[in-house]
Amino acid sequence: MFNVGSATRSKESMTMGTEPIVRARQGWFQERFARTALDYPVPARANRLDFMLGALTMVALTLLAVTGSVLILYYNPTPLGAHDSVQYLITGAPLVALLRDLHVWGASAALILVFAHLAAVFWRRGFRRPREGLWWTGVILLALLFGLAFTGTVLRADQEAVEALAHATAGAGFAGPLAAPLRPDFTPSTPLLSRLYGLHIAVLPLALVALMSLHLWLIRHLGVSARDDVRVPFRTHLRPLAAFALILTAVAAALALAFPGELLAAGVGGYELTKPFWPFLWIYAAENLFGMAGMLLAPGVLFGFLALVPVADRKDGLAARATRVAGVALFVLMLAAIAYAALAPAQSHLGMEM
Amino acid sequence: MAHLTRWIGGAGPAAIIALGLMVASPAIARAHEEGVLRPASRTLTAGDSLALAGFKFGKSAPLKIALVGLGGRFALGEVRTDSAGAFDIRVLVPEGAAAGSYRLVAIASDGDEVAGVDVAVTPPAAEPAGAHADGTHGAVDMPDAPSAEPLPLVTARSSLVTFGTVAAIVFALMLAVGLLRSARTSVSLG
Repeated sequence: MFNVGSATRSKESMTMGTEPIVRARQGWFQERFARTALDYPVPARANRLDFMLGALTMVALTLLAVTGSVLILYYNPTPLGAHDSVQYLITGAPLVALLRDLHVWGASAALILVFAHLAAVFWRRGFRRPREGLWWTGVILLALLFGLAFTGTVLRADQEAVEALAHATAGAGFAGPLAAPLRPDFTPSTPLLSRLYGLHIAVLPLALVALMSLHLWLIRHLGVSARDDVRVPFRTHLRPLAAFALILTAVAAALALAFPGELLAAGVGGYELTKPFWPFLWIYAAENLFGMAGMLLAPGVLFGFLALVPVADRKDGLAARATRVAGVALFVLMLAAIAYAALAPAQSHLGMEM
Repeated sequence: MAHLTRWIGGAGPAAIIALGLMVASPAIARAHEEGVLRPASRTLTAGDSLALAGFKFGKSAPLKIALVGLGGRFALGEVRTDSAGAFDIRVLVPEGAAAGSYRLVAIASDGDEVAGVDVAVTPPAAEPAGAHADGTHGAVDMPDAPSAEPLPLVTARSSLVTFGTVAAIVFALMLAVGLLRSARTSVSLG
């Protein structure tokens, strides 16, 4: 017969018996891995989704790093071999093709999330003293993400890539010695495509990791900008964050399965038939309207404004209101420019044929 | 920390503006038009002749054609563009050009490179079955016409990868829901 009393007693004695072992194990783990270091207090509001956009951007970047690490094994970074190798991994290697699609969708996710993060921090004025450095490192991180998106586009070596490269080379002509490695005649030992590959897989990711470390260090020491009297341990932040990270990864995987990334025919120089990757459409729109000057000025205006935000908006007043209005106007203008460029017929620039 | 913030507050914008000005300054303005070179093939064989077309250069402009790479710099010939800024010539790929990656370039009379295209040079002897110096297989011809249409590629899929991914997606979503529920019980999500 089943004896409830004895079962309860034996369970108690078992618990009492294992408790010291569990405690000892936790102590061993704590001593070596500082688990309680994650118990520092954060405002309870920081557990909301709008305070997790930066961390979710990091999740998307991790997804890009993991998938990119596999793509490196299949990609041939030579001008004549690049397009063939991309075509091969799309048609000949099922898992790698899926990882490439995940890489493509991961890039879009990272850019959407970083802009959402930027907008959220801007709206709650998370750049005010003492968080100016946090804001500026974020702005440079955004520029690095654009650099990674651009170099990633070029590596396909298809028509869109050749056109993007022509624009970068033309822009490099105006950038002085800073952009010398972007000129085809920089060195005879390495083709431009191989140099951009180096930028994409080593230089830009290293800069990104270094700057992100500084960004995280500043967040840890300055705290998040949420105003909330209720404090909770940071550890409680990790559970919802892990949930949103899983949702993000699942959505990216579903999109990768349903909508595989395209590849155009191998690029032919001297023609412009395509539009750029969507995050660059606002620059494309500016180039449609103002030519080369628009292509150079549009990013200058955006990043110039972002750099000046913490200087212009130090405390409540007219300057703060003006900065907010200008920021919202710029954001709406960017979205409108992207929509216009996506819907308008393709145009050619830099004297290229259509 | 306050000192660091003050320092960043003072020097940060100045540094960013200085960098912006440096990038935006028209340090190098191109003195002449840049053109397009189009070889009949991007895989050249040492000792063979190559049909080379060029367009969008300056009108009636003298150009030097050269092959530049780690294997050396080889002058292939000189040409003068027509009234439309175009030309068509045949050049000889030097027998002494070692196999490898090169750039075929057009050089204006002032010495500036005004067009270039990446090419590979293979040795004149029969190639070993397999590959060129840069890892490509077979000759890489220049496409005749550009296209903005996606290639009609059939993306490789295997049932193992597809079903495995679908299962992982479902598992991830279920786990996420569980985590969100347990988080809600311990801490208000606001």
